[in-house]
Amino acid sequence: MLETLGAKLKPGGAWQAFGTVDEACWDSSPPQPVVSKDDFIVTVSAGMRLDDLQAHLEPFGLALPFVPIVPSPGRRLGEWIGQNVPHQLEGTFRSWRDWVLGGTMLLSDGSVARSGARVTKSVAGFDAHQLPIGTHGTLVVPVELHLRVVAASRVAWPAPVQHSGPFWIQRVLRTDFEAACQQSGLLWSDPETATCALSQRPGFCPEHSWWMDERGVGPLSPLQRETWLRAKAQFDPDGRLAGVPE
Amino acid sequence: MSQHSLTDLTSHCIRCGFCLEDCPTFKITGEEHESPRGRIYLVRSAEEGKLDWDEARPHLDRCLGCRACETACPSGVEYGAILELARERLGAKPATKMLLSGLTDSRKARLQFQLGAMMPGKRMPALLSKWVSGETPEANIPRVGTVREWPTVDESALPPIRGEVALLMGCVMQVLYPDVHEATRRLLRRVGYRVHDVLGGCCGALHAHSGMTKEAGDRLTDLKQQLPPGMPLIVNSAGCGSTLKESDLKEQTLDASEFLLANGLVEVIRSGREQRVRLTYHDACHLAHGQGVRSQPRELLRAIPGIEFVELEEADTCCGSAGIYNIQQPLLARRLLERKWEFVQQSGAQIVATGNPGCHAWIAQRAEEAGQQVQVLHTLQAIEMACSGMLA
Amino acid sequence: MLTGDAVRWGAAVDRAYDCDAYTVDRSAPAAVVLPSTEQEVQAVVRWCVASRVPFTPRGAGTGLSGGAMPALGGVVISTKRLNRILEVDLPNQRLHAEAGVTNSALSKAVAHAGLHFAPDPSSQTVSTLGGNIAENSGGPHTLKYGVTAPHILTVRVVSPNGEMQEFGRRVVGGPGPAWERLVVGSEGLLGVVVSAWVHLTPVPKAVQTVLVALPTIRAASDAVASVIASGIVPAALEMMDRNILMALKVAFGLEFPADTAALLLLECDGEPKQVEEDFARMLAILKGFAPLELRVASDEAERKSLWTARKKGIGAMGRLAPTIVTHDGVIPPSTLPDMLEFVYAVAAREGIGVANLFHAGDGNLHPCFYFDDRDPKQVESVVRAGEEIMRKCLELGGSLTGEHGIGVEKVGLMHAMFGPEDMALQRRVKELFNPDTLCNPCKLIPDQKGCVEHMVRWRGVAT
Repeated sequence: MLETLGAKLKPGGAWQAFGTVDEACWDSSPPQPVVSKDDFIVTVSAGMRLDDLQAHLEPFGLALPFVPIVPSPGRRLGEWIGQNVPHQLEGTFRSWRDWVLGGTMLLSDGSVARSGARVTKSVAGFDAHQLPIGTHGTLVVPVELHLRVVAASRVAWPAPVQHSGPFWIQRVLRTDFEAACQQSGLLWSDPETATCALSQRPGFCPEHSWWMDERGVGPLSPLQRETWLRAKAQFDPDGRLAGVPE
Repeated sequence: MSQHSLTDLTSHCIRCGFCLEDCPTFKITGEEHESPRGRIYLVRSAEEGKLDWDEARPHLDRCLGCRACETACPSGVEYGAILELARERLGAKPATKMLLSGLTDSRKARLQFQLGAMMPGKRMPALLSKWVSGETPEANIPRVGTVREWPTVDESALPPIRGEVALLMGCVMQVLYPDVHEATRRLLRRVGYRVHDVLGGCCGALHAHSGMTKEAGDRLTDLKQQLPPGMPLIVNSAGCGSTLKESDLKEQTLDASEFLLANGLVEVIRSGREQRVRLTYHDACHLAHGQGVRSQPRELLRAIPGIEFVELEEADTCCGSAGIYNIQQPLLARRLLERKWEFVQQSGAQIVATGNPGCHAWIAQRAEEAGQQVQVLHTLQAIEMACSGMLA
Repeated sequence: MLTGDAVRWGAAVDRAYDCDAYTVDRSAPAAVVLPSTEQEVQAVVRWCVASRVPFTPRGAGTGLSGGAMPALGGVVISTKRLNRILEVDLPNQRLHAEAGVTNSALSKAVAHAGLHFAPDPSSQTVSTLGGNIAENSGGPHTLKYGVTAPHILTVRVVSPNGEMQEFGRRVVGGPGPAWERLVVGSEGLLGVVVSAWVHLTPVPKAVQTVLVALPTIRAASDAVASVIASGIVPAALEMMDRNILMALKVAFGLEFPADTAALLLLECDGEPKQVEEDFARMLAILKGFAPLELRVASDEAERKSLWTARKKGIGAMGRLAPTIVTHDGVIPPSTLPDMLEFVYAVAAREGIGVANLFHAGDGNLHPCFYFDDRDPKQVESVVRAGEEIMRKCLELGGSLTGEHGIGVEKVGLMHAMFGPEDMALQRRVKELFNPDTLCNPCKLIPDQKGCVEHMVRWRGVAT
């Protein structure tokens, strides 16, 4: 059934999801994206690499306005979604939660379910296609995505930040932004979203701020975590997908 | 009044709910059945036999009849007409009839108010109020008004007489506010009009609003007989003006502020002495929502030299007076008055101007309770006082 | 715990609360409760759970899919007395308000600082924050600014089993799941929203607006498709057809060129230079479609007057017939020309009036049927036509609803959009937050226990 959905999962002892990337899970040659140029929508396999998608969109004059703070070539769309890390164009174009309009997900019981729609605006049903975003492949595995894209001419591509080694991303209230930027190891900052990237774990943690490492892992609120664990029991009772990070 | 049936009138409501936040009783209760949309639905249901009229009654009783919902309604639902017809179906309560028979006969009213002034306390006896409303009274018994000592006007400085207009003395108005009539006469003279007082009679507005449509019609017929044919009928009471404008007198009827503005009063006001005072304006419902008269009084007031005109927050939300509402629904009326008063205080105004006797007396009562730091005047009183150099 | 005037019942109350702005189905509550604090909401929900009584949250009751209809009776929990703005944080462009505050009041509270709450449903002067969150409301300007979801930082809810929960963060994003994204748009099934922190957006520095009269529906829908395809993101791109113009003429005396088949209202906003550039390009595109008239607003007053046609359109429909039902479906904008022809054909075949006034830019249609709901035959025709149009939307790759929600109106159509495995996923999302059957039953998910036999009854009340 999965073949017809445009992505191939290789059978194994466990479904392995994007949070803990296992190349073997995904067929390396996903089918071509389906581009609706005039409607600014592309349907794409979650196993596609970000760079390949951008290259595919280019002849249509379209682009996904996503620029990682520190480049990470070769990473697949599903991984980016599972990690949901902030990016350089977020202030203007927002991020995955607004771009993923719908799609198809693989559930741990082997069923394949759709949610959302292939149009920019739909409130039909719960937004179950939000489930894979930021959840590191722990709940469902994204298979096919309907993404909202933009005219490439509208995007001013910022220069990537050159950095190797681990880094942290922190977002604060605007009123704390200046102080946040004074921390040592500042790699990048964006006043629009009051976000900065640091080469070390932030020491300045004012109220309401949050941070995550480059994999999108960071502290959670008790309710957020508790609900995540309940969701895990609901969507993956047998623990076939990646575990909820500590 | 509209000739349509109640079913037709109510069926134009598409239940969009855009009226809700403009309805004073919905704003303070948050209850659907105390909103225009809810009331229209109840009336329609009762008319279609799906609800007992008696079940709808308390919610229609609590309607102020301010018609703010008509201003808000995108579908043009004639709420005022629906309310009057519904109240006619329900029939006026004996207490309402009693109240109106006194109020709308100026001789009786004068007598009652004079007697009232001799009784202990300022309000209607509690027992009587219980009979009328089931609640303790909030509104003071009105006092018979007097005319202040206006300075004599220099006749030589006035323009020549160019015409004559009729001025409605009204029922309550001539007992409570003869001074407003005097101010109106003086202002009309300042723009070259002689005034013919239409003394007797009542336009029937209060009866119509209570669903006593036959009584209202009879009064209107009597009034018509007293009018010199074709002469403009000037009205300085919003409730009366709105009723007259919906009758076959609509061609001749004008609110005094409309007529005065159209006849050049602004120039006259501007030539007066400077009046350094902060003033705000409360829209009487039957002027703003009933007649669409909003800008005219403001333009006149703003023309007063030296005036600091401040807009009142929620200026066109009912103060709770609403004809005899503050006698029939004392608690809700008081909550609306308190809300109005909060905004008056926020505005920092020393004077509140308004164009209707009901609002005038009700807000003035609140000003009195607060120790008179704020003066409440009819718009025309304020303007004539400015022209006579006695406002500030 | 509740004050005396917070609980209401009786024949009139039951009647008044038996539907919202969607009137085809009706069902009366047993009682209405109007709590003034979140503790009171919690107490009511707990009582309902303990007593096994269904409960349905309600804001202003302006919803258009029956989301606030108490489908199985029980208690309606009105949020209209939760009407305080609790905290305004201007430097951080956010605000904390209770669920019953109106959408417009949020913007009004921060207008002095040049900010506003961006989602702008047509009902914004009355519809509540809680209702906007439940329905994930859209509006004309969501084409550029997005629907309600991206503007909500946190939601505080009383969960269906009576617990107080706050999802989300006071700054956007963050590690891990964003449960608030599931609560927004959940149509009141996942709990009663009591308050929320919302993100505020600066009022744009420059705005340019144009109203274009076009001679054919085809020209208008082609123009829409071309503007969208150009890559410009207008702040709003609205379309009104001939029947709307007729209603506007009857209601407000608004005049348009005689041969106008459709009006387009387009707006660009943002930084002055960008606006000027985009607007000029947009006008050039529009001129290619032989417009009968092209009115550009020269100032704010004129801009408002151009918007009058759009804002008052639906209300004006009330003057054409006793009942209107506004449908809501989405198609890819590129298929707009075909879709509109289909809508007219269906209405003609069913013998009912239809007018179209909608968010053309994002393909969000609002075919508006006008009829007399006292005639059961006409009601049947309207329901049938609505269904047919929805199926066409799906056929073209669209959605059942862009902003009105599923509610009770379209619950029977969910199977047309989603297969059994898709619906199983939907049910699992519901059960994660609402494993019981009491919180807003019979909405969104078809065939819920105890609902099927009631559907006949709802419709029975309407006619």
